[in-house]
Amino acid sequence: MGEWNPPEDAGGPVEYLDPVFKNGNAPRFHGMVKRLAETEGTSMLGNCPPDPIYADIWGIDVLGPDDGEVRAGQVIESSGWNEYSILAGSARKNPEPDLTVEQFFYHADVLSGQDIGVARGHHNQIRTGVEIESGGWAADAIDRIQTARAWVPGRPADDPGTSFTIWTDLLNHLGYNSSFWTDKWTGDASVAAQDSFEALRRWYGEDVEDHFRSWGLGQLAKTLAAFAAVIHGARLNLDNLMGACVEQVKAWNRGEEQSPFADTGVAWAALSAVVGLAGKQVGRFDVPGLTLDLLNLLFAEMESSKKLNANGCYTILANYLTEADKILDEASKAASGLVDDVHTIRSSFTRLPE
Amino acid sequence: MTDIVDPAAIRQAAAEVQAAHQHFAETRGKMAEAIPGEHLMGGYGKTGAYCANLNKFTHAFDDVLGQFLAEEDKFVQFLQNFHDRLQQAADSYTQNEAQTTQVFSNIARTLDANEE
Repeated sequence: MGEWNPPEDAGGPVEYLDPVFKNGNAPRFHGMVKRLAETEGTSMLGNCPPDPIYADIWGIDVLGPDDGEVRAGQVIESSGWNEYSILAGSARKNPEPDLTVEQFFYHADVLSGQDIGVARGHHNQIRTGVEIESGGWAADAIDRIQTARAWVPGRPADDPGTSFTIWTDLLNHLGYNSSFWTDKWTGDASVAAQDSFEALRRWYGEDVEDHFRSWGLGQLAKTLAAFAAVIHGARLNLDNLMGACVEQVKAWNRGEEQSPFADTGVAWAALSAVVGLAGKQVGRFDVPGLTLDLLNLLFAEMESSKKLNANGCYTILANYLTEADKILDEASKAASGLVDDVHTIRSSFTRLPE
Repeated sequence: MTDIVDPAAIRQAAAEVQAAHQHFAETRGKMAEAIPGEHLMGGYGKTGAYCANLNKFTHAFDDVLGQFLAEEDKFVQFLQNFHDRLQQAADSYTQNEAQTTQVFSNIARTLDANEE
């Protein structure tokens, strides 16, 4: 019995998915599920089905397997059988399939469309971690917020940024202790102008480490990076799950009893690991202009693995859906945690005086 | 005590404030493009609950960044107003100075005429 290799299929529900899936494991996963869903053309033509099926064997001279899952190319020595799609988990009593091809791609659909960058090509590979080549709209937005910050901790002293230079020059010229208010302009109008500027200075801040734009905007940018990391991580998990599912089914088809991922598992991002990071100093995370590095730093925080164990083809497929649901549950929880982070940041920074 | 007024120095301060205003108005404009809107929204509507849960972050981020931007608007507007006040003060002092000079010139001319 040779290796069962259903053709890849990048159409149908895969067509509009994010490139991370289309250029990853979704086409081979789709091709496999489609073949498992279709039994037309295999029925009763021989005793070696070209694709795995569920067979209801009714012949009296059964020498092959009892009712149940039959591997591709496996000989069924019987005078006849009724066959159903492997996806028809309820085929034993009701030939209506209880799994559909499309529902295997609902999860990927939810994780498609967020403009958070492009992952490195990984056609038919189970990745060991997230590597992105560009940060998309999210990286651009993070950079824009970072640029607006007057001071970014960790930035080289000889390159503090335009906002910092302009603001500190203004403070030096018009700040509370500036000689401008004693040597160049005094009197009632001068005092009124000085008080007005001082009120703004207190809001905008003079301490480079702790004022509105440095802290508030910096932390906000972190939550955006963390959200991007959550989506990238969820995509990694799901794409790896697709690839692992194909390899698990193939291993089952070869007659292997143990799942190839039962012991070592697959690379898996712990999505909740980035929640709460916005309030902490995370080393290089505070360096501007390195959004991809920042994301990679977050991915390192999320590093984990997932062991997959399943017996039987239908169980492997059903487990895929269960695990995919869990990925979205965890992504949802992580997103909710980041919402809390965002609100904490907002309530922590100084309000502009009226 | 006599007040000190150096219109040239005030004008210089006004120019610095104006430069700061232009810079921070520009960064504010760039930051406004960091409002996620639909950039972070995914899915095509088949799994609404999950899409909605993930989109909660986008809505919260939109909201809070919007509040930051509103304060940036006030900040930038303050700089603009501060520049205008400084410029008006410098102009006003210069105008007064010119008027005073004119008055003295007129007096001088009158005196000169009387002498003739």
